[in-house]
Amino acid sequence: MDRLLEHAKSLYADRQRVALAAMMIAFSVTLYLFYSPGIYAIPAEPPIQLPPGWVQGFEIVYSFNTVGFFLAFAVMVFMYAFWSWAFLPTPAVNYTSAVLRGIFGPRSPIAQSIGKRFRVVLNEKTWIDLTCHIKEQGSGAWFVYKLTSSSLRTSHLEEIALRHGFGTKDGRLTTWVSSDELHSRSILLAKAMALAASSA
Amino acid sequence: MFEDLNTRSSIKRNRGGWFSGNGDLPSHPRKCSGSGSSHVRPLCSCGHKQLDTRLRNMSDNGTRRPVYELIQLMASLNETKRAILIALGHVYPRSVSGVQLSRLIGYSGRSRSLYRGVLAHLEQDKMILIDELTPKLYAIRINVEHPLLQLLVDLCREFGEETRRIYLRALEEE
Repeated sequence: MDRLLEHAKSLYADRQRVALAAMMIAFSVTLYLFYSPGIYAIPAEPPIQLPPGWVQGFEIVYSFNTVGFFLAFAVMVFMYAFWSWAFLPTPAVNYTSAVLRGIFGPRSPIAQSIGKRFRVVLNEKTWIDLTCHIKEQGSGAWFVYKLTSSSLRTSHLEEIALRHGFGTKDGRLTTWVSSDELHSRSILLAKAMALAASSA
Repeated sequence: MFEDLNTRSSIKRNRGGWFSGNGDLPSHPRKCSGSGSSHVRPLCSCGHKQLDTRLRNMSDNGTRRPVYELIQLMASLNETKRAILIALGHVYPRSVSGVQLSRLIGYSGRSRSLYRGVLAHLEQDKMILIDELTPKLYAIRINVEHPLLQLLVDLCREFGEETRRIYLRALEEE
């Protein structure tokens, strides 16, 4: 793996650890905040005849405090999920854009958008979309990219896709590439798109 | 970079040419499957004449194109994928299980992560075929309908006899 990606990987692991620690602290703080002021029980009949201690416990659990606490916890989880969905560690961004710039030259604009996505605009009508996955779920591989071309109008699309080792979906060429293939397969994708454009 | 590569004509030429999807080539693999006997017979004689003429034709400009494309494709893949295609191309009429494949390519990880990652991607790109025999046992083979891999299998059958023997011997050590 590239040195930049190694760096990004360790950075990501560190940040995950920091996020976990912060979440544990935030968890205990919210727990304290939501249960210390007093219990606002939701009025309800205890289901069966229970000893009074149990009824008290039931009131604490079945209360607005718990509802609020769960909401706060859900917000925390959501923020974590958003953070890991949206952002790619900076060294990985540098690696990706350096590779793309190396192939497509300084004149093709590369736009980065939230959600670890990149778009290389080749000319007015064609572009390549990249989505990066920091860690692939099933295989545990780091930094896997999904490449998607813009929609291509040609009757030979299947054939062109096969002959460049890509799959097709909705009239687009798609493929998954690992970080060490990013360079060579983006070249092939650009070539395949040029072929498709000229055989339209 | 997007100048006309004069491709339309070449695609059309290839359609009718020797490397058209389902042409004369894959007719013989079934007959000559040397599937798994420990002494490997010399490859079949059926269909070899056709193969020779095809390979001679390859020196024409038009039909050398698939060779270029095959080299380019193999060069674009990473080590693991390349090793998988080469191994599967050599053992072709046979299919292998995930465990066998990971041994053949010298993969140190678990075969489950191979399935979920590299193999799934190769299957999506139609380079290999995966048949589910039982929920835990899969048969993996190269896709010979693929225009370029068909050529690879051809070349392996023609020149890769010794390599093929090595791979098959590795498969038989149980």
